[in-house]
Amino acid sequence: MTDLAASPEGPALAAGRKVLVRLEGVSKIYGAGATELRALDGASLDVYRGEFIVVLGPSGSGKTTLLNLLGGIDTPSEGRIVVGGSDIGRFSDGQLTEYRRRSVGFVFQFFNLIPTLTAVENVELASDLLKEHREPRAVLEEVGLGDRLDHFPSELSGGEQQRVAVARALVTDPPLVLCDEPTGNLDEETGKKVLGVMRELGRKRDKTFILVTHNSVIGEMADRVVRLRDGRVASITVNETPAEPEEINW
Amino acid sequence: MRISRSTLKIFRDIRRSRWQFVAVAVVIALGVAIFIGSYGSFVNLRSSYDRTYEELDMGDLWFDVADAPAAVASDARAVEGVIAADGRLVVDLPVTVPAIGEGPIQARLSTLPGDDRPAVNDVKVTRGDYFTGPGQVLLEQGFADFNDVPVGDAVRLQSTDGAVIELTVVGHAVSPEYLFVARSERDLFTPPSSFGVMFVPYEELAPALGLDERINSLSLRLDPSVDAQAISLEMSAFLEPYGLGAVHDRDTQLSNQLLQLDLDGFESLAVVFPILFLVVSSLAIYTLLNRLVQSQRGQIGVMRAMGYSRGQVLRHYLGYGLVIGIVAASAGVALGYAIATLLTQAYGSFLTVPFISTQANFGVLAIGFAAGLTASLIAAAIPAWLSAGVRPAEAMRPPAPPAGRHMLIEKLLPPLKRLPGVVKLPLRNIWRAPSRTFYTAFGMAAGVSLVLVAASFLDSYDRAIDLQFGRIQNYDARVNFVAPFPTSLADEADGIERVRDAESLLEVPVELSTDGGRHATLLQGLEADGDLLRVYTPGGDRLEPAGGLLITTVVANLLGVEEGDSLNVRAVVPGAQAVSLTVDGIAQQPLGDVVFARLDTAQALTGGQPIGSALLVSFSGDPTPALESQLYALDGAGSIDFTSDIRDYLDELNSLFLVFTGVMLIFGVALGFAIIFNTITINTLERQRELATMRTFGTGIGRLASMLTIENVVMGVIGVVAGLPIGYALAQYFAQFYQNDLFDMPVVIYGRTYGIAAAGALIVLLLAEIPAVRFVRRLDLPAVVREIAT
Ligand SMILES: Nc1ncnc2c1ncn2[C@@H]1O[C@H](COP(=O)(O)OP(=O)(O)OP(=O)(O)O)[C@@H](O)[C@H]1O
Ligand SMILES: [Mg+2]
Repeated sequence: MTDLAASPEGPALAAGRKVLVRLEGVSKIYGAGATELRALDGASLDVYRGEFIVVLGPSGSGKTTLLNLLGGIDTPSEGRIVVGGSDIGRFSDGQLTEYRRRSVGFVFQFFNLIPTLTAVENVELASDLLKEHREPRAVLEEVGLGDRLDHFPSELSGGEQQRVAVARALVTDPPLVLCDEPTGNLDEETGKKVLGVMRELGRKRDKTFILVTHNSVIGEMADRVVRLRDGRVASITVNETPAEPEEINW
Repeated sequence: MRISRSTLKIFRDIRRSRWQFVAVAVVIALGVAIFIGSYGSFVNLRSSYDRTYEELDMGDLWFDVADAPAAVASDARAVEGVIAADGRLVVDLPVTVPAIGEGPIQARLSTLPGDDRPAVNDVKVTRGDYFTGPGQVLLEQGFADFNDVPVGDAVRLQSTDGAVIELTVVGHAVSPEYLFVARSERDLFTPPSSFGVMFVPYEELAPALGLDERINSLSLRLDPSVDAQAISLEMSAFLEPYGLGAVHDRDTQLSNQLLQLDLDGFESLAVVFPILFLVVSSLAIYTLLNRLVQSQRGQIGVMRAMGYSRGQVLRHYLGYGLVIGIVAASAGVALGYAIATLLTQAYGSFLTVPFISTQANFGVLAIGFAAGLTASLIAAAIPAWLSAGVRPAEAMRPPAPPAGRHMLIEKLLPPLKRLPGVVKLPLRNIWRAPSRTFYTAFGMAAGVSLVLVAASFLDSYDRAIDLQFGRIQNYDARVNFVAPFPTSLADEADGIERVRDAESLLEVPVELSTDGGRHATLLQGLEADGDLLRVYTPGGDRLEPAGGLLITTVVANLLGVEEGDSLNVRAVVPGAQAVSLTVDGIAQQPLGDVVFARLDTAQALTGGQPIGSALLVSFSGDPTPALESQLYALDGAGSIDFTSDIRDYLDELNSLFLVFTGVMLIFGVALGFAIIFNTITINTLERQRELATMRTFGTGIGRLASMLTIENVVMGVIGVVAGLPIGYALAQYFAQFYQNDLFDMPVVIYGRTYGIAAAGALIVLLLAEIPAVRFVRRLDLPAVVREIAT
């Protein structure tokens, strides 16, 4: 492994790969004056098309905040987030909606599913938004829920609910998938399976995954590992040979 | 086509909280139903009158003349714009109706052609036949029904030369001119036991009165496109030489005018009362959806993060209002239609309207539907707007547990801290969730005040009748005389067996005038220390005229005068001079438009003779034929109005109002019930997480149930206490719609009514606890906990 904190672009990586999102000195500040809290504090990062990034960091270090900014559901207090040449921090609400609809898939840490819709209906809630989308049932099968399609969230285990959320993020076939603790509730085997699905999709369809986790082992399968501390990018580690999900020890 | 998942979510959410949605839908449906029921029956009633006028060729203009040749009708027909003209004789005569008694009653005899139907103001014969030969009479149906005079009976009238003419009742009939029977503008509540309308063949009455080929009344039907005013002026000039008297168009035709007054009040109530219902019901929807949006903040965040736009989220939550609105308004339309039909049939049976229309009025149904839908959408708009403003990043952070706080009163009153938990926790919850406390109290207050408003109609009517017949009208009969009589006659009446007291009354039509305006009314001169007709202030104190006038609050407002001011009073008799009189006091007079003075003051206005025009008599026991005939034996006695008859008659006259009010009360109770039930159920349902958590901690069902009940009862009592004055204020507001110059009801709500409303609301609240407790018992703990995790 090579520490690229000093030169985040890393010559080896930059060669021949397109930047999907560029964060330039992004901060998110809550409160003001004495109670001011910098949830994110001048973070800079380039995210490349097709790569698999794992974000690690202690609780409260700004991981979720980072994902929210990348996903366009929150706006930065300072800095720029450049996607396809435009700063999404300056997007109107309509533009942000369009960006979220077409460019991002989200798997949240909390509040995953609509309790009154079944697994497949939860996925369809997302696919309804686009004319072109993947077949919801097929995506659910991919995450191993082919036999749970018509169950309501209250009839699913925590891990099953998490996988429905993953399927919901993937069904619109977005170039960028943001996952906040997607494996937190999963046992080793299922966890690996879900990660395997993501990894494969990333490779086959050139998707970018950014995955937040407390489980540093998962970092072994990442192309890069970003460590956050107190809202800053503490380090970025490049994995020349990422492990396959089934090889890692939970 | 498959429905979108966001739409599916609406239906699933509704199914999940179906009882809450059913409850608010019921509330909206009731609002729509009461509008369609009351406005629909108003429209039916109005069109029934219109149809009756149409079918029976109701006149457009009426001219009273002293004496004119019958040929003036043909001259009138020649006038451009006159479709039909009819000349006739209309006279008031004493008539003896054996079915009523030996003494004569006063009858209005109106002639009809003996051999044909009239071209104007036809009658509808409801029983028996139209004239088939000589010696026949048709009785106005209300009169015949009230007095039970069957077809085939005889009536006797006295002709001017003293001969008695016996006529056979050949049928009962309804006339468009007498849908509301009143003797005159001054004497509106004439019981059918002493006054009736009868139709006799012209060929019968004219010779008896020595008026062959003469008429004293001409009525015209006009082409709707012509200027009625111009024709009225032209005809007036033409009839002037024949002693032209009063000229009326439909607006001033007495029966029509009174019906119109009634309809106007009915119409306002039929609009305003449902609006109150709909406002209250939209608040119920607002409460429900507001809580829904609050509890779905996380879901809203997820949808926004997925790429649902602000507009889509807004429409999604409006969708709940739309679904409730459509379902509830449809149910309301169906229910309202049924009510309107039933009500129309009900009043059709006790009003003498011969042609009842009960057709569905699509306009009213559509307006009702639209009103229900609009109320639902407006109620949904604010929660929907709030939902669209939810910021996804914030909405999806885990909810912070509510801040635990000691109540302020706990600090002020330390002993409260030592209360057992089962009491202390509910009190803290009330304190901690002020919006829930507010909604619950509001729901209770709305329920209580709706019931009070509806009940106030009945209480006020009851009080007015009580005031009129229990306090003001202290006599049992009033004997009307054909001509003024010397007041010494009162002593003679006093001597009749069973008569306790007799007093002379002199009624003088007067015109009151001030700089502010003029008002024509009836002055009643009362014996100086009489007790049979009393006058009271609105506060309930007895008033007695000194040398001046006692006027009613209505007249005082009309003329802008106060106690101590002076008024010009002129008797409406030829040659009378105006005199200035002081206002000795302002009286409350529920029925009729009259002013009062002392008997000698009234006598002075008409020339100073010691005379009276009616005798007020009180007697012991019930009226009997023997007593009646002794009263008729008094010299010049023309008719007798028994107070008990007037009272019955008033109840009959007001039956439409009373039925309508009864229906309103039932709806008010139903709505109050629904709202209170709703609020309590929502209170429980929205706390299922909290309740489930407490149960997982091991709190017993009994303890939870007591805590919930204590909490709701405390909030409910706050609501009831607030609802009582609100109900009174609303009742005051609604009173303006049924009060008019002729019917000035005091607005009252009896203490008993307050008590029943408050107790009823609390009982409903306790009943609503039953499903709430069952709900707690059946909580699916694992499922709730699982959802908490998501
Ligand atoms: N709306 C907010 N208002 C105030 N502070 C906030 C808000 N949102 C986040 N924070 C703070 O910002 C910091 C970063 O929060 P964030 O949710 O990004 O942490 P995290 O790295 O995801 O933590 P965890 O691993 O526990 O999920 C935290 O200290 C948090 O308290
Ligand atoms: Mg987090």
